[in-house]
Amino acid sequence: MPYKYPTCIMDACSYFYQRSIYLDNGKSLFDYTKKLSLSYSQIVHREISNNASQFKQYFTEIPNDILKRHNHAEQTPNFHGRLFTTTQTDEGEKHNLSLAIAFAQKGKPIVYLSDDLSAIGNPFKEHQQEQVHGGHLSLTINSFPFFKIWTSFDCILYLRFRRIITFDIAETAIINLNTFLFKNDEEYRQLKDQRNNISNDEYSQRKNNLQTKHTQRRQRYQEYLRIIEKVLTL
Amino acid sequence: MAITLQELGLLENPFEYTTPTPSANMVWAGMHQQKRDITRCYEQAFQQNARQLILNWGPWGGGKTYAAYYFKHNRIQYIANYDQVVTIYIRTPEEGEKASNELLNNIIDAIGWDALKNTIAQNAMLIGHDVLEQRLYDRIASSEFARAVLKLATDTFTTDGYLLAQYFYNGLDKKEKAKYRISRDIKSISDRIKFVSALLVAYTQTQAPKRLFIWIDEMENAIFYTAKQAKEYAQTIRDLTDTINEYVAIFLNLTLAEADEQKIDLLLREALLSRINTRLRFKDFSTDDTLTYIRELLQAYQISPNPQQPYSPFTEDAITTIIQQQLPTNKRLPRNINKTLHTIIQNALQEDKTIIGVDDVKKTTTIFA
Repeated sequence: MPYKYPTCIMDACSYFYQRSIYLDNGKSLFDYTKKLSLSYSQIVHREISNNASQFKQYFTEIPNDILKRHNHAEQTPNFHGRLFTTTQTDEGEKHNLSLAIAFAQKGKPIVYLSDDLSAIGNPFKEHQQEQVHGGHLSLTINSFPFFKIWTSFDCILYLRFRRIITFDIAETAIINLNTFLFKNDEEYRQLKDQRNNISNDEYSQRKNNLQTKHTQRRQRYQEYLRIIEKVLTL
Repeated sequence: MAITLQELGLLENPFEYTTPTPSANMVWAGMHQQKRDITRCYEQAFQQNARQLILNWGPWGGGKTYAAYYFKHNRIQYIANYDQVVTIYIRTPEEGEKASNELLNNIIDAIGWDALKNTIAQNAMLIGHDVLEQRLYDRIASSEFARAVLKLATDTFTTDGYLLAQYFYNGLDKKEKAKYRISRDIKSISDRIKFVSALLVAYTQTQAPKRLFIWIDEMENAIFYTAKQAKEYAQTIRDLTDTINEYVAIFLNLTLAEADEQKIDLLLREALLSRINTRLRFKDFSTDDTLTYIRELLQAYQISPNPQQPYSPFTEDAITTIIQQQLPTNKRLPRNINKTLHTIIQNALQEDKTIIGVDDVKKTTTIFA
């Protein structure tokens, strides 16, 4: 078997999320994900190295010790300039996507891991049979249906499926990742800032809407985890 | 010039949609099943001494908090033994950090240290110091905390609950510990649970023990604790239930639009799931439920109730129109109904209408498009 695990092309956002998610055993989610074969485009590598302080500022809950340098960076394929025009937004995702396409062209089993739903689209909405939210990169992503797009939740499911983590750790990771995303949801942060300027009723309703969205996602992934468990316990 | 509510035939606007204000005159409208189920839990507390853990779940605005307030403040109306009822209402903290400590502090705050001290001292006098100490020991299985609670509460040199509070929050100094013959400090969360349980048991021990009802609202906040914090919080509620063990019912209010019970189980920790013995669902109203709710609420506030015009100042057609056009089926919940009817009544006052008909209803912009 040439590959034990597919190569996981990870963006900066997922990297920081996963390093921020601490599990009950003192390890971070990233400590397990790094057991997979990870790759980063040069620009994502640079983002991780240089933008650490920006992330730190934004995600106030990220502990200092996660800000470590990484050494693997892959050359951007030649076709990148023809595929994308350079803009200020989603640069990391675009370079990672070119890298994923180049790997797939060589027949390498890969997954593209990103938690930036505005770029990759919202896979959860698709599950909910709502209108599929297409991200900025959807057109390109859909043109190359040769590899899977993962969020960190999918990554947790895979880690459990391949028995890299136990069921309890996987469930803890889902809960903690969900909690992290809720607390750092831009809408929730704004709502907390406006707490004293809006009525209790409005605060309660808006908070409930947000909680419902995040609760449904958590329930869904916990359900997936239980279905995976049926295979593992056979 | 706007008319007054009295001219509309109402004592007050019945449809308040903000968080209820606790008062002894709260009205329970519709939702007969839920009221029956909760009343049964209260009655069971008197028929069987065993502890109860009850999960109330339903959508936002479905009446769970209102139920808690109603049963806390209107106790005289629903049970014969109302003077034997002690109801405490607290909320689940928003932040998971130290949520367990906050939960215990909130329970104490809901009664107050002075009330705890004075009532426990009275109870000790009423049933005897030794008998009370023995009862405490039987329930919480800690002779140290049983003695500490009684020594500090029955101390005759102080009249307030300062000593108890000091011991709970900061610990006593060596001199005080020697004076009250207390050798153990409150260190762990388990110690805190035992001490709070001892306080609650002592507080409710009269000749015939009172029944303790604790409503923990906004349990959905715990869904957004980290796994570790949520586990600790659930264990604290479980340990508190197990330690008090008798004459106690804990209601957990969980806001969740989920209809599938199994999916709820995904969100609650095993520590709680294994102890929950009753589940009460607050759900969206049917058309009949909505009519009953509106009618009963209006009747409670009509200055001269008239069986011929149960919906006064609304006409029956106006109410049917509201339900059909302004309240989509998935929005038929007390809070939404209140919001809609509150607005219509306010508009009628502005326009000097003494009867609210179909045309008046249609003029009001639908809140739930």
